[in-house]
Amino acid sequence: MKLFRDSESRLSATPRYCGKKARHYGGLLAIFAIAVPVSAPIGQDAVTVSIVNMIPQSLSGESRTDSEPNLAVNPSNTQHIAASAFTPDPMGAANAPIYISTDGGQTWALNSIVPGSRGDPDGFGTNDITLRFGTTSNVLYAAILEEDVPSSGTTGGQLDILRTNDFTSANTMTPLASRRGVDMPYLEVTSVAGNDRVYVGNNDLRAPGGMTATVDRSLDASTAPNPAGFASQRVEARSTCGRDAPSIRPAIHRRGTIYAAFFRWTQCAQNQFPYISDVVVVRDDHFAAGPGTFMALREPPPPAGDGMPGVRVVRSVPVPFGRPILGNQRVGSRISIAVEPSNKRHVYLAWGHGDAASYALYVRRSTDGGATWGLNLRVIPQATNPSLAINSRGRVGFLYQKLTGTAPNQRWETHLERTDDAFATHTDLVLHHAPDNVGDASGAGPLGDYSQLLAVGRDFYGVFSGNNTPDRANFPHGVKYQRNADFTTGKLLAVDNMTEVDPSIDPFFFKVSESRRRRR
Amino acid sequence: MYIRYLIIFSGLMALINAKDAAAASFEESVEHSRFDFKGTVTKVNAATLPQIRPTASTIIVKVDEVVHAPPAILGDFKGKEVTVQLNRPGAVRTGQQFVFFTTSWMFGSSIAVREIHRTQPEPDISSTRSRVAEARRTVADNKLQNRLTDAELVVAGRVSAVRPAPDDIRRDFISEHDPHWWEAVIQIESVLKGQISDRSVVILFPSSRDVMWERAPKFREGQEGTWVLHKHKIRATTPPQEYFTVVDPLDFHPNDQLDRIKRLVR
Repeated sequence: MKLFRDSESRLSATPRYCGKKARHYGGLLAIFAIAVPVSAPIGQDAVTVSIVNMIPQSLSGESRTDSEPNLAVNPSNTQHIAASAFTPDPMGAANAPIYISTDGGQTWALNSIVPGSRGDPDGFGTNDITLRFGTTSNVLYAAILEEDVPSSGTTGGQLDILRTNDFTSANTMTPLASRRGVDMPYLEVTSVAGNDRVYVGNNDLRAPGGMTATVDRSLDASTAPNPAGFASQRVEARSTCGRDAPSIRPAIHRRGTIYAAFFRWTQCAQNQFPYISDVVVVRDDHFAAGPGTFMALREPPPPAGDGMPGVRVVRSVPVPFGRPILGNQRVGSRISIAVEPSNKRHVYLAWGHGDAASYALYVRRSTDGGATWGLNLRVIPQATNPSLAINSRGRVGFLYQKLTGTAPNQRWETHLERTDDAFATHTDLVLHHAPDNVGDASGAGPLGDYSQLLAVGRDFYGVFSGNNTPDRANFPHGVKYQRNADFTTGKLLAVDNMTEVDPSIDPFFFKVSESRRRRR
Repeated sequence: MYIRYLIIFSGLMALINAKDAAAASFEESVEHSRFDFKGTVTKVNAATLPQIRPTASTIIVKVDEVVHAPPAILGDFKGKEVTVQLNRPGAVRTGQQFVFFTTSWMFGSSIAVREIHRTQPEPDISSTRSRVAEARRTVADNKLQNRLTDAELVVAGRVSAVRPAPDDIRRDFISEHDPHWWEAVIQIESVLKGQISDRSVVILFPSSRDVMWERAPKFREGQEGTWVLHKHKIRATTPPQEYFTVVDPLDFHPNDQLDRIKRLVR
């Protein structure tokens, strides 16, 4: 007997309001929500939330820490979705798997097509990995750090940028570019006139002068032969304490504006905790195609600024790099940036800073292409893994994972906030909340160094990792498990559907569908 | 007369070479395969997973006997149907039985594997299992032997102390993938390869449990075994210096592997 819960929640989001005006209307909106249970508090849309545990039924016996997930939705065919996590090939073969879905994320399989694995079923498949589809090409790209490159622990790992024309095929992904000494590659893609323009934010630890924040870009990655024109563009113009932080995040506007956000470390001495950092945004207005890329944003001359390329959104803030400070989770380099599809000058930025006591996520907005930034729109204490996305109507989604409670009974809550008015009001969906007591308490921690939110058309898609205990109370909007699970007893079961399996960390896919409200 | 002997000799040599080639091919198949089984083809141009588009290369096979099982988390496959992607499309017919040597492809509601090699089944499956097990031992020995051949020093001994590496070794590693080098002092009981005048050797090992280092051996005081030591340049030091490091799972072996290592070390 297969026991799993398959359910979707049609809106039960709790509206949260900021400011007096919002409080004034809160009661009225709450009544409205009860009276019309399929309508959302934002606008006039019906919202459907679906959450799926991505571990396939044939891997019901696994109990690994499948953390640090990433997601790619094919804009040309949203039934086709790919994802990644620290998941090794279950048989220990030479290729690492990606997660694939051909039915819009309702069912998932692992497809072992990523080269560079050590072939160890107890390994991680790859080290860092992110992936995206071309917006019109159907080509899937991945940027990975190889697992199998012998390292003496000098600096970084081996970056591979890969592609496949058919993400369901058994063919190993084709390597396009490769380089050693790299950390945390993070990939974004747009298709322009039949060419895929690929941008890989990465920390190039071999960059001269410690100016390591880098974006590798190709202007024709879908068809060009290896190395597909990839070239490294340095986006750090200032001096650092030896390097920038690992996370360098690009964001693309289809008209050619490319933003990148990163932490510029200014103080990072050995044994120092926390480090001191600026949060920097750079911009290029021509697909980073010409000479002197990412110089479009420049601070004013002193004393207002330093006249250098890149705007420092905040300066000299503490960043707790190197130790877990939220339960078992490290949070040292967390940043996300998103640009509004209909206005390339409207851009949102989320990042985390603070010391062990004050750590929080912050969200700000710029309406002038990153030149100036407003006050904090959101401050979420004790939270990590921010991910921003803006849908085709300009609605902003903000995904994060927040630690609640006191040790040893702390819990992780995964939230998706959505707003139409720059967070003057917003709707908060709690997708998952579960104890912080399973999974690997070391390394990237139980959640990993990132999760992912995407917007395709009006819909939001995302992925996060979390405690997989099959308990309905952990999923306020329901969940579908593919792996064998008994929600009555709260136990995971192996492939034989009898043997108990320890709880662990699994990746969860979610989709928030924002279809138009149907007229009655 | 001589010509006749020459022909017979050449024929014998060809036979021996062919047998060697077959053995090598068998070992190579085993080295790359992860799931070996005797199975019956139940459908051609078909697949057991909805994510796979059936083609002339994809067939469904019922697993009759498991020869080499994949990790236990995947469960027992005997009697189950799996998808096999053939090396050559259209090469089999429904009802045919083979021993398939396969590796991973897809894991979903069912599993799909890629064919590496297939053979006609032997009358007694246990003899196939024995041959496969022997080949796997040989493959594992070859891997270890390669690691031993590259090693500068191979010693058996006991860890007398572990401690953080000096600051000049750890300096400048500011990444979430930093190894966080620690030192282990090994009291040497025997030297199996290489030369060392001291009775102890200091090695570096990554204490980090980040994904990049999780599988690297970690040490504690009192631990006994055999270390396969390579020198790596540590860039943090000025100038960069070479240290014995232990970063690969094959770089440390518990005492029950000592005889095997003695047999393989050169």
